[in-house]
Amino acid sequence: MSYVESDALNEIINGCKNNNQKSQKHLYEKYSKQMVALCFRYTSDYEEARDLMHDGFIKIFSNIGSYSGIGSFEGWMKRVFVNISLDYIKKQPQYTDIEVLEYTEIEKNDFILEEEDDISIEDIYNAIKELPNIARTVFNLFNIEGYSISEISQELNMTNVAVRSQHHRAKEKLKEILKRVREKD
Amino acid sequence: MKKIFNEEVIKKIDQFEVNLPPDDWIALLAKTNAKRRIVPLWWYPVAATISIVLVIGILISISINTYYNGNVLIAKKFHYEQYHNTKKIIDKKNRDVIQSFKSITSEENYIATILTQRDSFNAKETFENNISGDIANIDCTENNSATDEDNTIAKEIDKHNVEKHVINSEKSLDDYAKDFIKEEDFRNEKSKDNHKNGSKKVFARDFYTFANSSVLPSKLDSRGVRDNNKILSSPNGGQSIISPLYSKTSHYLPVSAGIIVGIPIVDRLSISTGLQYTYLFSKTSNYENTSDVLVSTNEQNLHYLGVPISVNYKFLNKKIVQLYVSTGTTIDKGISKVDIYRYYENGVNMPDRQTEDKSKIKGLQMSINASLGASITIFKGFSLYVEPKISWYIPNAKNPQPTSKITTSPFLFNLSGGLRWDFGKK
Repeated sequence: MSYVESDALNEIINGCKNNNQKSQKHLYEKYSKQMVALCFRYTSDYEEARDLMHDGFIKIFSNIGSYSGIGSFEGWMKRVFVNISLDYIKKQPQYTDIEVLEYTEIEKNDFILEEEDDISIEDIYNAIKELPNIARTVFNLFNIEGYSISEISQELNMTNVAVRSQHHRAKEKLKEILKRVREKD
Repeated sequence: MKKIFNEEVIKKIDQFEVNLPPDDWIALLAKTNAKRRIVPLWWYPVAATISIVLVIGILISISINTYYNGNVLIAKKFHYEQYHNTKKIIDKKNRDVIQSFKSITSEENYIATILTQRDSFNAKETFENNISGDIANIDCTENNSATDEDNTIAKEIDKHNVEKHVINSEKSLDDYAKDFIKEEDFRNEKSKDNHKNGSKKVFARDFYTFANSSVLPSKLDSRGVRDNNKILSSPNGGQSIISPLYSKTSHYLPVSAGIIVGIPIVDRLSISTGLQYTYLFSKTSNYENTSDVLVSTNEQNLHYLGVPISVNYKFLNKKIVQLYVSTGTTIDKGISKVDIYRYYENGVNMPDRQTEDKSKIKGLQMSINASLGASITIFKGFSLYVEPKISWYIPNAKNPQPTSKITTSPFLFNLSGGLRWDFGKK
């Protein structure tokens, strides 16, 4: 972020701390589409994602005073939205019925998606949304949000083995979906 | 476990945007206005604790005031009794003196000496002033300046004393004096008893502290659970997948230790609170399905710090043995979670690799407890107690606690014991 951009952001943040509606609207316009996309990755339902995004912004507007300025503001915001999404996931009925499905040596089946690949980011994004609920959550937390296995297991109240197996399941499913997309193209 | 995307792709996915309807900001504003303030979970136990402390404070102050006021009331009544009996006897004595006036003897002087020692003796000056004068001039009528209340109390006392105050012409003044002294001594004894009884009802200034620990042998409290040994279908519904690993998990009963302070409210009822540390241990062992060879273990150590609040009723309070019942709640906050992973890659019992992972525990763990306790006094102020207890650990839906004995078996029977010290007890 450039100096000018960061100054502008600081001004918006300070305005939000003073409950200035104009500043809140600026903040919303700057980040709402990105945050709804983040929530959409977890819920796979657009209206639920919008709802969660609204809840996230309400929480940010009321707790922005607790942002001390240390660390990236965007990172702080994302944590809020991820936590809201996780709270939503945990309340779903499927969440209480987690089973460890399979566990194989994933190093053998590993694949890395490079930028040169002909699959667009939009296709990957949509493919992630098609994953099963818990597998999708584990996949997002590990690959996109950068959580460790133990953090995910604590967050979702699962064993480490269950986390690994759900991630493997997500990977296998993602491979299938992307193969289908490639064949379509 | 490796990530499947490189940093560039992750960044692009992270910054991916989805379109929103044009009126979305209005919808957000409407929600913001309609949203009520959500009270955090921890406010409720804090509010409950503050309320209990306030109620205790009010009860203590009421008890102290009653004590002091009660003493004043007892003293006042005693003085009334004394005053009126003295007056009555003086009046009757006056009458006796008048009626049996023949000559002034030393007996009259003796009575006068006794009666002048009474502080509340109202007519003593009159009597003294006239002792050598014409006794017939002594005013022997009822004291008309007495208030209605005085007369009411006097009448009540008279009901008990009427027989003694019947004038007996064969009884000498000396006999009357002796009777009066006896009655006086009897009343003094009675008032002393009243003081004693009153002090028993007085707020008992007993405070106590105790340390407790609750432990059960591991063989009795752990139960291994076997997981992952399933033959499953793939997402396509056709092929069977056999899991290569299975797990055994054992959750151990909580072990706790703490310091509690008890504050009595009335004679047998008290409230106790303090600080309590709780430790929970769970072990998961992963084995290869076909060969039952140990692959890895995970030891989970949970540390909680909590505040117990309970109401205790002592239904048996002897010199050596006391029995009581107790009910209350405990609010625990997870301090840390430590996971120790051990990997046995060569299939023998010594681990080849070990990693440790520390993390925080979000949210609170509340429990409701009920117990029956017995304590035995070992020497002055110190007693040993044992307290079988049943607890219900309330699941926290908003911040689920790490899987442990208290989450898998919320209803627990526990045995607690410790040392109790009553300081300030007389």
